[in-house]
Amino acid sequence: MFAIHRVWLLATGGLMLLFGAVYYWRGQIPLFASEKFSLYAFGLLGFALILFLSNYASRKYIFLWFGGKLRLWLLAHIYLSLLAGFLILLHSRFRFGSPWSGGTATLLGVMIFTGLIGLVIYTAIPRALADFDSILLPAELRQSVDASMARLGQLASLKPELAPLVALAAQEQAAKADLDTSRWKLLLSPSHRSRYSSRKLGEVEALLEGLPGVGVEVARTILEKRKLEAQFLEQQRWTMIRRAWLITHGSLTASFLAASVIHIIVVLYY
Amino acid sequence: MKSAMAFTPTTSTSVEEPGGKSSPPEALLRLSEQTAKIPSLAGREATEILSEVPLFAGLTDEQLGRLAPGAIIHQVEPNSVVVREGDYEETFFIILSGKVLVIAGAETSAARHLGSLSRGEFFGEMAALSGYPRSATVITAEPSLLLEVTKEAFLSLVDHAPSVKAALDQEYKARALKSQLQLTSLFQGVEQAVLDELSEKAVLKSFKKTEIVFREGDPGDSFYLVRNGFAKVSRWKGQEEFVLAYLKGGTFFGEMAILSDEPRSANVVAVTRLEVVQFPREQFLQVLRRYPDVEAKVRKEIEARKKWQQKIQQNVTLATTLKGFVEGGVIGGRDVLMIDLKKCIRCYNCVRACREVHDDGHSRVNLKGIKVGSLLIATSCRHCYDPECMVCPIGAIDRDHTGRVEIKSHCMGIGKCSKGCPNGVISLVNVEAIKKPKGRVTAFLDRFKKRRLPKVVPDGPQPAYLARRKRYSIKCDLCEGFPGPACMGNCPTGAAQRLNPEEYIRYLEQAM
Repeated sequence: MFAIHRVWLLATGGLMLLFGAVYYWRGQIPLFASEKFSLYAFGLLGFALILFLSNYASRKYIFLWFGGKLRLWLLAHIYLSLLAGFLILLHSRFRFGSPWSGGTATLLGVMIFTGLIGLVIYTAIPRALADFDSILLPAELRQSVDASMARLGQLASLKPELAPLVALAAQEQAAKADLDTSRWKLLLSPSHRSRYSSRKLGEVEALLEGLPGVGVEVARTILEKRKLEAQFLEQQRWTMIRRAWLITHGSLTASFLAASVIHIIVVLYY
Repeated sequence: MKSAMAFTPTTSTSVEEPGGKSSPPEALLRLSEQTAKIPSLAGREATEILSEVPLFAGLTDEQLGRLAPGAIIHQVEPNSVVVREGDYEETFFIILSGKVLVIAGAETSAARHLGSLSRGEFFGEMAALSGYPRSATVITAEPSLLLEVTKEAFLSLVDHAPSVKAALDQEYKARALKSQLQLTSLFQGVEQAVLDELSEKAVLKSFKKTEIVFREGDPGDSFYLVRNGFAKVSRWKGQEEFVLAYLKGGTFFGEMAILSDEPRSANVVAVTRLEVVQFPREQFLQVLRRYPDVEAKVRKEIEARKKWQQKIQQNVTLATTLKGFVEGGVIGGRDVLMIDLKKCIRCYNCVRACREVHDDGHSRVNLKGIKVGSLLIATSCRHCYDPECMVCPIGAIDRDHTGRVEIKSHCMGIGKCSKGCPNGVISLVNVEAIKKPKGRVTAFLDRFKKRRLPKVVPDGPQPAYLARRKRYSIKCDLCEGFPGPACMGNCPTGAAQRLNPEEYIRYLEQAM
């Protein structure tokens, strides 16, 4: 995984050095000798690159097979965006300029920053969900929770005279309501990974100590159910975090593109 | 090869006569890639031609009639490839006139001539009977007239004609033993007379999945060469089984106990259908005494295995992956969808992309699977080396020459394939459940999504039987017609990969 990142990082670094050198010695390069041309060239190149890279979203959702693997698009999106940011810096000659162009440049900076937050989220999700054995869809997870509940009901009905079983089953029934929590509330909730642990299995087993066989199965079903619930909630939480980030990053990109178009029109007219 | 077409010679192919090593042909063309005209075979003419074949001597017109509908005559120019080693084709050939050469490793620098066949002889029975890929390449040595019989027609005849079955079984065993001994690198340099003697004493044995070849502690009375299939080598530590290695076609086992004169040190169990050549201990020892090179190769392999066992015991990831792959039956797959949980961000793009590229709107990727270390083996077709699903009574499930298992558009939803698959990768879908795109915007966007050509509902006027069907089977088709599987191509983090399990184990070993 890291090898491919290294290649992209080196390539981006190399291109940055190349453009930096062109910027530094622009007076000695005939094509860039005109100050206006060099400014426009860096600006337009940076803008075109961002425009192209923002198509990652359409590659993801509409053009399923356009231009190679999505992984390649994501890597290009990450690294070439950094390059585009650098080109815009060269275009602005490291100055803010007018309030509009300064605002546009700031928007770009924030956009790149949120992009980096996205990178952090993308690496955090697999780590946060590593404890769970499956990557089921939310609907499938709910089905599995329901199946565990039904099994618990069956087990309790096997020995209805055994009070601890019935009480536990009822307790677990009550806990099911958690899954209907609003997804936006989940966004702000703490991690749900602590909902299950082998220690908790021990607690449940201790409760059912007098019921060998059935008791162990009940304990395992309860733990399995709790794990599925935790997975459901945790997955939903991270989905919402990713979605919230996507909305922010997407909105910032759209705002930057709109501001850039206005900036270009203003420059061309005046 | 199944369609009617004629042949022109492939001029670049060159093969020497028996005796010496053959030079690899520059460009071997598959029979189906060549162009020419083939006369049709039907009715009375068919039975007359078939009755002249020695293999079918004594068969009634009715029995021969079973072959005729599935038979095609090919007029083949010299130097044309009739069957290619490694291809997953299961047709059977009879030479009506001319001569063909049988070559192993034809496309490598180590091509070996296994023999030649002429009028009245047959080939292709090994792949047709076993379902394994072609074991050698067959090239015409002179203008030939070949009769090709489909697997279905061939097996139907074998079922109804005991004399043909007996003759084929005998020939199958003789050829399997001969080719295995000639091809195994272990016996390279051993004289033909010794190999013939060895093959007389050897026995071809088949084991069903989970059948035990031998147990730890058993006497070391035989040496084995794996011909086809996979087996696991394991030891029990208390209640837990520790998988040491797996064996595949072309490898050997059972040598340790023979050389050390001790009981078997591990169990060997078939994990798929397994075919082995078994040699008696004494015969094997005689070869070792006479050929020090062979003994050196065996001892080198023993050393390599000991080193591997050390690696396995030291590396938990490798051991867990190996055990998971072998016990989960993953090792028998050619192309397995593995999801790296260290990279997966749960975006379900793989499922969505799969749904998008299939015209019925159903995803063939099911993320319920088995976890092996940090990998999730998704419930998606593994395109097994030995597919247990290929039991459709109407032949609606088949595999192409690359080994890709596919469901044909004439599937009637009988469900035998679904029951046959031990991995549960084939689903039955109701025809009413075909999800058509809704709304103008969705329909407009769908134009860009390049949905695959309808296969579930074929183009043009539908045959009456298809209109009657209520359900059909779906499974991964590796997104035929697209640059690659959509699940893999549309994973943003590269977590979804379609890999060969053996290659993955090799990668893990090298990464250590």
